[in-house]
Amino acid sequence: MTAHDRTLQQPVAARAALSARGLSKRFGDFQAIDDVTLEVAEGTIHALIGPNGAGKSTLFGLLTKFIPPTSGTITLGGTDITRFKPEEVVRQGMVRSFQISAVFPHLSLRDNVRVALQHKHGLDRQFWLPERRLNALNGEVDALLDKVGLSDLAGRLASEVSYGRKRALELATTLALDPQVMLLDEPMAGMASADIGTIADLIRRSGEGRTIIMVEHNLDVVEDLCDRVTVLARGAVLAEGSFDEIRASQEVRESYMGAGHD
Amino acid sequence: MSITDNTDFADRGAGRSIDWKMPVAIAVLLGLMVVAPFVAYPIFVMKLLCFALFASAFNMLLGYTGLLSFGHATFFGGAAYATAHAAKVWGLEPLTAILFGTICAAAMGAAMGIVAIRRQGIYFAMTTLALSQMAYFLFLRAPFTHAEDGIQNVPRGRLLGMIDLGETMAMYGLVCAVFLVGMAVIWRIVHSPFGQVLKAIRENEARAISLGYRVDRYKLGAFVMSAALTGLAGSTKALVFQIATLNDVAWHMSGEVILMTLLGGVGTVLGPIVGAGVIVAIQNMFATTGFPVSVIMGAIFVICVMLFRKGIVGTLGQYLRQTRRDPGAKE
Repeated sequence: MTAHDRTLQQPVAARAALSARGLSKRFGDFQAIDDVTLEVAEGTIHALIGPNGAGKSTLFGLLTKFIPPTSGTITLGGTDITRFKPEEVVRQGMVRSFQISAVFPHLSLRDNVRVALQHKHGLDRQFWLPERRLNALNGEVDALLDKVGLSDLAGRLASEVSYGRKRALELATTLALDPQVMLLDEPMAGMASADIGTIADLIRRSGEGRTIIMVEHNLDVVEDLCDRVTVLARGAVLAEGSFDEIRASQEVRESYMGAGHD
Repeated sequence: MSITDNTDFADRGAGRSIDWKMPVAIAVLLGLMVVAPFVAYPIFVMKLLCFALFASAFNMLLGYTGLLSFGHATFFGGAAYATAHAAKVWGLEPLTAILFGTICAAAMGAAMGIVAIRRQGIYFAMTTLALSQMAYFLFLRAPFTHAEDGIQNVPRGRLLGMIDLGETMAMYGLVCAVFLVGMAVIWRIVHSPFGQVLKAIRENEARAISLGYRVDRYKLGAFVMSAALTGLAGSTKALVFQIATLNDVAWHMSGEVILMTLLGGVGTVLGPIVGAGVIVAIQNMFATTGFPVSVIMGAIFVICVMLFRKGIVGTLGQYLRQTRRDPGAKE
């Protein structure tokens, strides 16, 4: 297994944290993703935008191996992960979040984050040990909750807190894994504008030293946060460039910015 | 998407309010176990304890992992056959026979689990049902089970070669010990680092995968442990009644344990015990009247699903939590 082999087999890919080449996915007759090539440079925040149904979430699913691609290759930090299982991708350092807030609703906020840390600390298989052994992780848990501003709610059930806080919690659990690459699927969707600023700030701060790819509809956020933008339409890459380049593109305007966004 | 959809009727929070009441609950339970054989028919109490352990082992899977197995009769009845055979034909010491039955159940659990765990949700339940039906016919045809007759007149033997389990109170003591050990093991598994991961899988399987967990391994682990503890209950029951029959491997038994768990409160520690108590008591009450018990069971199930989905303990726990919280903080 070459999972932990971090040598640079492909010198070209050394600067790219994540790259996909010729990635395609067919569901029956429907070509969901059509020959997508994507290169995400290390340490940058890369936005994925496009109208509904463009295949953004499917692309996330493919990159993290939740959905098996029909063809194409995916390389993460120099390692070919095309044949990896989703949990192996995670262990390789790429973690995704979900469009619909993915928390463990009937666990407390503290337990939500702690579960994410258990594997890293080798405390996930011991069925003979009491739960209180996990208290050893609480320092790290509290630091993460503090980072996202949830420390005063640590004991509450995740199902009891507001939507914005669930998203912040999800970010905390993702950060718990200390990933090199984070894929955030619409981290601001359905949030009040006050929360958007907080989360944007959080993503910026937590993104230091990491590579982030995010699907986002709010173009103000994209402009504010992202170094580079890829526009997806009907499963294919329509354009790629800096935010200003994308905004200037007539093609993108027609297909996306003019139509869906105001 | 995930298996948690199946158990949306469960109150995963209910266990929390019971946690600090645990010492009281344990004291009450122990008190009842001491008094019960003098008040009720000891065989009845032993049967109740066996089913309470069975339902608790089942609940470990449904309530804490989010897996609905429709094949647990195979482990319950299969272990009963194994223990009965070991005690009667091989003349094994009772504790060894029980251990043998438990190990057999674990092995059957591993075999069924490896196949079923690949499927999700309702397909998992259907796979376990199909496999347990296959097991039923194997038990029906296998020479050592004696088909319709079952294994009868199983000797209870002498515990560690010393204590004669033919004495009702000696047998009762052993059943109590088995029950307490079984419950302690379940309690430990559910409240362990492993148990926390199981709960995470129950809550949101996709998220658990995206945190790097190989969920199939945890599910298989939980499945085998649940099967083994179910086998412990079945083995003990075989010695109590001194018989192992097709009844215990039939799908009715798988259904009955689901009913017990749901009625008592899925995902709560005490729920399955209460549920098993109610069902076994009702069965006993109506056994002599000639009134069809299945009609009453069906009615109870309908009432349970319509009026108190969280089960007796779950609903009670929720009520207690509300009355405690109301005077104080408002969100």
